[in-house]
Amino acid sequence: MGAYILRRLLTSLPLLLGVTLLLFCIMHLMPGGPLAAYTQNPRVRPEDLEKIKHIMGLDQPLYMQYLYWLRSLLTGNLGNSLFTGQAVTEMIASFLPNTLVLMGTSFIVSLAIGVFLGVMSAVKQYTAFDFGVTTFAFIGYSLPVFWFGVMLLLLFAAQLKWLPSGGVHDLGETGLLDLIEHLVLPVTMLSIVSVASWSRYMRSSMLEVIRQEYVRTARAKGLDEFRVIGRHAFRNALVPVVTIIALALPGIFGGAIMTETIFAWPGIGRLFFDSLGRSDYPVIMAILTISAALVVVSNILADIAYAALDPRIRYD
Amino acid sequence: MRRVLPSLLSLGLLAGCAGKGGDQPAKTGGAEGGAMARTIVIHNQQEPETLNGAISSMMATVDAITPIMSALITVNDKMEYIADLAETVPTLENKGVKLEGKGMTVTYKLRKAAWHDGKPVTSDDVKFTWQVYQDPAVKATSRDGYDKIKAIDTPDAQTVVVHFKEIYAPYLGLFGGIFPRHLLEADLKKQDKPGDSHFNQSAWNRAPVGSGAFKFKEWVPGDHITYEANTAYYRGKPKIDTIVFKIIPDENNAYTQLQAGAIDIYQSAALTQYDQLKQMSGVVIHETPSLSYEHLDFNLANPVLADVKVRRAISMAINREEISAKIYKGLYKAAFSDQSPLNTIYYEPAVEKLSAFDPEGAKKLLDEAGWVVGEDGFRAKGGKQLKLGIASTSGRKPRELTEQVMKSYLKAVGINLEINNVPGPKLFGRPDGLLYSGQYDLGLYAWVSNIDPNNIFLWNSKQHPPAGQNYTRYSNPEVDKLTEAGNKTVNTAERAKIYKRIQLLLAQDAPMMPLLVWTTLNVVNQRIEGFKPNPTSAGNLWNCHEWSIKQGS
Amino acid sequence: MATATASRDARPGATLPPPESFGAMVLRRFLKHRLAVASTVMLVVLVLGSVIGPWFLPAYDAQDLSNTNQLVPTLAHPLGTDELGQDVLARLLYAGRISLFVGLSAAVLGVLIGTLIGAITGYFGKWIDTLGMRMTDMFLCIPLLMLLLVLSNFTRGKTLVPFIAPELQQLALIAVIIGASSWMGVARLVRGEFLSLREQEFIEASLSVGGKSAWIITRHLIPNAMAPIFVAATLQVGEAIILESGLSFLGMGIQPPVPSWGNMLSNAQQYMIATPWLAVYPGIMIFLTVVSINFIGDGLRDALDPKLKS
Repeated sequence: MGAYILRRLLTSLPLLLGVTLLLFCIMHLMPGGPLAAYTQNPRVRPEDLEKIKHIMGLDQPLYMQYLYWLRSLLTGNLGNSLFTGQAVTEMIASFLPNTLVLMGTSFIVSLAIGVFLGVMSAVKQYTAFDFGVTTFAFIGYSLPVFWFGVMLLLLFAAQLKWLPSGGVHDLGETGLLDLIEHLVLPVTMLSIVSVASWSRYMRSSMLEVIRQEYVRTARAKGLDEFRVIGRHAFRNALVPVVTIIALALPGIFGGAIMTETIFAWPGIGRLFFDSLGRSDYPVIMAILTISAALVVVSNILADIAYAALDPRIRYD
Repeated sequence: MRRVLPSLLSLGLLAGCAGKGGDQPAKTGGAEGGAMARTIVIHNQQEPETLNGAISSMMATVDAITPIMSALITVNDKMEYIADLAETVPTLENKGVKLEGKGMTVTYKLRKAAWHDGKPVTSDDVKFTWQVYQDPAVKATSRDGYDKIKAIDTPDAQTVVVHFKEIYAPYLGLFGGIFPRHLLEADLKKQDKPGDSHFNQSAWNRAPVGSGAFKFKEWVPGDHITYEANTAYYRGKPKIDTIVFKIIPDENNAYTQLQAGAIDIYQSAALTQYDQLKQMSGVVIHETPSLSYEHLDFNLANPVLADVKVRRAISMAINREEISAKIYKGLYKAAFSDQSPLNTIYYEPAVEKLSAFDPEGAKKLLDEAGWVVGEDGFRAKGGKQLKLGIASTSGRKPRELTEQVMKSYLKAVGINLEINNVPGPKLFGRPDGLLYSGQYDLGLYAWVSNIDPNNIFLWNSKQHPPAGQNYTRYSNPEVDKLTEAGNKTVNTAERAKIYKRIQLLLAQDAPMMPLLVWTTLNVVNQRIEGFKPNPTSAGNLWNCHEWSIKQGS
Repeated sequence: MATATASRDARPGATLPPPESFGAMVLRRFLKHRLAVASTVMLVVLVLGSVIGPWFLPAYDAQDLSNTNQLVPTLAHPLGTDELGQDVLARLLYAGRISLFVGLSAAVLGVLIGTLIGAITGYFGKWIDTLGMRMTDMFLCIPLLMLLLVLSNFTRGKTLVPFIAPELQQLALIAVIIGASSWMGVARLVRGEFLSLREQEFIEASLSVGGKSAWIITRHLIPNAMAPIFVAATLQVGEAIILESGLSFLGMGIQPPVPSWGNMLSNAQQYMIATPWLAVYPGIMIFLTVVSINFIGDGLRDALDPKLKS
């Protein structure tokens, strides 16, 4: 297994390199470019445009720009934003806590509720509870999330005025209760889909396990139902679900662009979308690279978990 | 805040009682009584990328830095120049401006003022500001005017003498933000890489120290910027303690927050929300004409449009008032000139009659020009149908609707209009944008007038692209002479005559058709007093030191 | 002839009814799933409405500016008119064509690519597997948004293929991009199935008799993995529709004036305060379509699952 992990990590490095190069090229093919704000502004004279281009480092040939970026990446420097001039690491660091709070809360909530609903509905298969949970899962899974978020906003913030309509905190407040109030709507919007799909996975995995003979044996041995489900069935049912969940980890960093836009939540998702719009290359590359690295790592984790927990799978 | 997070048990009860919550906005920012700070929250749709006015490319920056920075001269809501850091507005009449040979000298007397860190503001800081704009390693977006300055003398700490190489009529627009030498000189001199001054990446840009009515307090990225009052402000101590500049990109969110009292001032509200805003109680809507105006450019390089009769005909065939009523809720007013009607000194009212709606007159002109109506209802001459393309920014509903409506107006007089919209960058970009490269017939977009009437870059024949923005490729020797003279005339009365004459010529030649002046909606919580919307580039925060909160709110 | 199992009904000389065919069994089991049946009906209605409906209703690009934003249903406009005076119902149905077409083609594409890649990597294993999985990882790293921005920039206004209308090309492009970015899930699924299936005895048997790889893949493995693939394919359609609407919502997908439920939603955003119902209709349409598809997928899964007793 150790050799496998090492091999995966080693093969991932050229992958990451390839990905950054690919993304760099794609990025430069996007329409607009970071100079768009200046070229569209008629007051900026051509000679000033040249100076600005030079300051942004855009007058270099493309491969040089990539190599400069790569070199500074290897020294831990993610560059400076073309737009604000700030160090990119600083920018990401300032948006990251908000994203982690939002996505982390949503992740934990989805996990807890999803797993619980899945297990219960498997145990109580074909009852009204199961039917209700299944229907709810289908509804949640089929909702266009951004529409749902906007509807939530309209209902709870605009009409009923029970909850705030955006931002992380009310001005001047830093309390936990205030944070929770602001989190309710965006977390609901984000979790609906995860709860729906994870509960389904949990349920079907649980159902498969419950039908296994060792569960019947455990029951026959006289163990009470709680131990049968809780210790034997649940643990084994969790296996495939763990891999699914591991794949959701990179999403925690990338944030949810739509949620952050609708609820004015200053997170990485929004930073990425805004940077895309104004072609802020260093920020885009930084976020993409970090996301790519997280995707690779979480894939490795998922495969390892899958193989470690299910002895039937062999990797040659 | 009057909103409540209901406990799960009482969810049912509250659902009955809470209802719609009414339309009354609640109070702002947790203020439960007079003991809390007096805070006004103003919304902006965009977040500035920097708080340094010299290198910023965004409009949002202007609003964000107005409370912090001092200008020598600024503009009030009536489009009049007023003195800010300077004691008086220097003009030819009051001997503040002297003509010297080919150039001129402008003398400013500065008030006694201090930077937010306590050091005094001196004439040397003004000189430093000029040096910033002149430095090639600074990422300046516009050096216009600063490059016309030969030298600046600072005979004493309160006097600045600016020597211009040539007569530069728009001089009052310069020095809109004075930089502190003692805090930025070192950054300016340092180069992060050749040609890139550290000034562009300075920490000051994210936490500026200025001399304005409010001090910078904090910037929470993506969320808001906070300012606190500068009690030593030279134009009088501000009547409130804090201003918060809140960034809300989504207009529905801004509406909701205004209603909930989370923001006090909703700037540039969306027209689509107008009816609901009118019904919202507890707020005041300010409908202010803007300096931006929608207009139609004619590409004179197109032989069809080179004929002035065709252009006049098109101008007369389109009903501005109806477009405003149908598409802009009647809020936009008809525009007839490239100068704003608010600019009373320079605006020529006579042009309004020259371009009135007159479809019969349009038909007559087209007949005279030799365009004969064919069987399909469209005119033709020499076998070619009178067909023109109109280009505008795609994705903007009101513009698309305007084009549709125009299509039917022009059809009524026999012109076939074809709509070809493109994304913004494709329209405006350089070098291959449609306007710049002349690949269009009619262009529909907005210009911004300026308080200074200088429009040489639009109408002078030497300003055809790539030199300037004369996208219509207009060329009239008299207009050339007048635009050049206008830039060199400092006597206001003389200058007014020049620009009024230009407007008359433009109305006769019709290289473009001004359509509608934008109206800006600024919605303000009624507890705020002193807010005076300012359509000029000074922005709505121009008098933020005069804002106050009504007693008992 | 009679089967080996004696039946109580067997009378001397009588023959048992022919065994139920696979298709009939699937159908019977599917029909037991009530929600799936109801959803099938709903979906048929929606599809018919989208395909045929616009012929009966006024053309969607009639713009009568005197009649904008009317939400009170009238005979002429059962769901009212939108901000341009267009009939909302007509637009919804027309948009249904677009969204369904894009969703379906994107899903088909995604499943085809995913099955191909999953099959190859799952069967051959070793370095092919590694390569395939790394490719999957790579694709997971490219954000859909960026790809779409770039590709739409290239093709806007230009006609790649001369004899197909630009609007259709736009749709095809969106479908290709969505398909090209959603194959990874199917690939993983198929790979997983193949990994476990190939260890089973019937494959060993086939190999020992001299069966070639392509034969084994197409004749043995794919049909056995068919059930989950089919289910996944069904679910993909739903996901593709939501993805398309999300992209259009952000302004990256189908561009107006071609209506899609996604861009109708994003249009409606501006009028959210004035006429919120404009935003509700497209969302409901997407929801109803996708939920029907998902229930059908679930019904199929139950019907095809060999482990379920019936």
